[in-house]
Amino acid sequence: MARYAFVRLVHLLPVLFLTSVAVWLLIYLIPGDPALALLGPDVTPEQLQRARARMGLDQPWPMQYALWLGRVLEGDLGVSYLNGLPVRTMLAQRIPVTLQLTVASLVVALLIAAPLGILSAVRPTSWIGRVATGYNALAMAVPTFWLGILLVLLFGLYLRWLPTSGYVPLWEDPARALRFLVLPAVTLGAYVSAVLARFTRAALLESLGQDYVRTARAKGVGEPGVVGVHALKNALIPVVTVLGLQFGAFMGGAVITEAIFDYPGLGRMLLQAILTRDYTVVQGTILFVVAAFVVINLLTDLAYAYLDPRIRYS
Amino acid sequence: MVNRRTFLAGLGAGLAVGPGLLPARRAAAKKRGGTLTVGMPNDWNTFDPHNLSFANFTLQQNLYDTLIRYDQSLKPLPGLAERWAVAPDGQSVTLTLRKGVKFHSGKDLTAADVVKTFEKAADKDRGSNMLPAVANVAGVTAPDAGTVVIQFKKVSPEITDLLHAMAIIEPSAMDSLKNRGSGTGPFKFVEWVPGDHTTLERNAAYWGAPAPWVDRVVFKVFSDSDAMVAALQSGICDLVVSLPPKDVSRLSKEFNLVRGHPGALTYELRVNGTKPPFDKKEARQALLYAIDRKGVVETVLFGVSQPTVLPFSRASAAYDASTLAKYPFDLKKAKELLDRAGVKGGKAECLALPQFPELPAIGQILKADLAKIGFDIELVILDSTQYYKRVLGGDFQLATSFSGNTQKYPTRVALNSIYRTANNPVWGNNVPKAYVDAINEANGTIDPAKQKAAFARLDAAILDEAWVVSIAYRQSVFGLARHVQDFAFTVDDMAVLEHVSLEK
Repeated sequence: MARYAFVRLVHLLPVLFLTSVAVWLLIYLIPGDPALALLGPDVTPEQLQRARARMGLDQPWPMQYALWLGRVLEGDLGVSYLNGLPVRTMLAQRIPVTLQLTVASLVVALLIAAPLGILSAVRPTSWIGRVATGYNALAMAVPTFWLGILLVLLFGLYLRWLPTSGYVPLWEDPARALRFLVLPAVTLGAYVSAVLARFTRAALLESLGQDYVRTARAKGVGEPGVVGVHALKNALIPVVTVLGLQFGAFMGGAVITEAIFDYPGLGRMLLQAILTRDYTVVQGTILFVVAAFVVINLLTDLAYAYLDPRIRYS
Repeated sequence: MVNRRTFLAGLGAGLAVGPGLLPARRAAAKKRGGTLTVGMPNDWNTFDPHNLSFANFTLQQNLYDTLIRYDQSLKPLPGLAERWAVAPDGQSVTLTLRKGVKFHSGKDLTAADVVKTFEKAADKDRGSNMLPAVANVAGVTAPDAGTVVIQFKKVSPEITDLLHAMAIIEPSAMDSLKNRGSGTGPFKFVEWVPGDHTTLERNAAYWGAPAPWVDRVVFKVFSDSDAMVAALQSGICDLVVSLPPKDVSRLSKEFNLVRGHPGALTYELRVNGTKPPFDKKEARQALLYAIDRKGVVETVLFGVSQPTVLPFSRASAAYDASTLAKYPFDLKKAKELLDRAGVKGGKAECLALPQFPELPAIGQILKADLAKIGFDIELVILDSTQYYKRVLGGDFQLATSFSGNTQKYPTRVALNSIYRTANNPVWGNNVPKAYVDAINEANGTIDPAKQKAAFARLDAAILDEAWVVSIAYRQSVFGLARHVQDFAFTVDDMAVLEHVSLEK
């Protein structure tokens, strides 16, 4: 397994390289100029030209890319064109923020999806099965931005129970941090909870029809034991896959949710960097997101072996 | 009758005159301490006070001081300069600096520091928007530690505007203005997390003591203006700047809403006079009549503005009230002018920036009205880097935008790219002669009668050539929670926070 993990991590290098080339090309295809974003609307042509030369933007793009790549290979992600801060520092400020929201959203999703998925699989024709089906349809159909706005209106402005925006680090003030996390985490977690609930239900229904479940029941194992110990563990593989994919996607930033709740995560930083053509920040952020996605997928793959001992990596 | 809104605006005007002017009784009753959280729709792009982008104003006002201040009627008042004496020939000014002023590092402010700031402003790489403003400065000297003499190349009628715009920067901080700043202002820099927040703390050594009253100010950036308004409503922010006009009426019962200086900025339609069909003067002039200014004020700006045909604020010496009646919304007249220009079934692209929702909305109104006379407008919404690249490069036919510096000495309007007398994005170096002459005339005299005549020629040239069609003033609205007291603003709509106290 260690060798498998090592090989997968080595494969990350060409992925990162190709991603960086693609991102650099794409961002250069979009018209715009970071020097303009820096100097504002009344800059003179001479000032613009001098600023572009100072920022190295007067060089051909392959040269700019090569210079950037050279610095990256030395472990330096460069500095923002706009604010002069190291990209590494900017990432270090945003990653914990995004991680906090990602974990909280997935916890919310699991807290809703697990009971809903299991109960609707165990009692598919009961009222709870119908409630689960209705919830899944609704949670998947409701746009995230709309749900976020509704939650802000209800809990933030009408009832005044929860703050409408902002972020507090969990390690600084856990109680306050949770108050700030509830609304964005529920907004982001609602859709995932529906997806997870459907996968859980479908996988569990399939497991419950398997021979080994019938054997367990024949041996006199109680229903909670049949579902919890025998069926559920085998049903978890597709659920873990979805969870891993969503974890990776959320690490890339949930731009809309972050905008609604003024949450200072990676998504907002990336969007702002794209809008201002802050190439180094775009590159650094995307490289991190790609690396995070690949590593999370690797961890997901490794989790399969734990869930199903028949799976072997070589 | 004085209603609350008028009263608050008046309060802003009163407080904008400078620190130490609060009545002693009120000062004694004020609460000290606390953190003021200010919501903003944009982050700053630099800590350099010589970059005069509107987004940076709130920061600049509270981190730096300028040499002089203006009250709301643009009467000059002492700032870092306690006194200033303009030479009779109008070609130099001698400043006496306030004593006991310290930079945030604790270093005393001296005349040599002021000279260094002027040197930075005149530097091609570092001067930013102050570079053209100091083009007429021949030299700045410091005869002693408390005196600065500014010599001009030719007579300068806009000396006070220059002194008002010149924010003094701590020399040791000049190389790090991209991400931090240091001046003599009421608040000191603590932290900047780009795109999220900036924290400033009280400058205990501020020359305007007992101000400032709050211990810390946190500026929070909201990428969505509705989220910013929700943060004010839910108590996360104590104050928000640039409240969207659409929310003004709804929030007026719950919050103190303060309207900024009318005419700090002017909404306009930029018209490219070098591209068909607007290379014909009559086609440009048609747009003067084709814009429903009242409709824009009522439907786009929700009544928080006044219409104007000229770029100048109503307090400006170049403002001519009669122009509004001369250029009414008249589609028939617009059609006549288009016909005279030989434009049949014309078509044009109009660029707009989405960050300011008013700009596309103005474009929509123009599109709907021009469609009635058979002229088709295609509205193109671009992000700021694409928009500015095309507008500054002259690669457009029409663009909704706004200009600043419209309330000061009228020729300062030429600091806006579209009003430049050379390197103009539309005209290049072939800017209409009547306009350039009027600017030069107004800049070349300190005789009030000659200035008045030059301003009249300036107005006439702008309206005749019609490459900028002014629409309405942009009036900022500040939203304040009830516990925020003694808020003020400058003539540039910069939020003045030094007097603010939190009376919770």
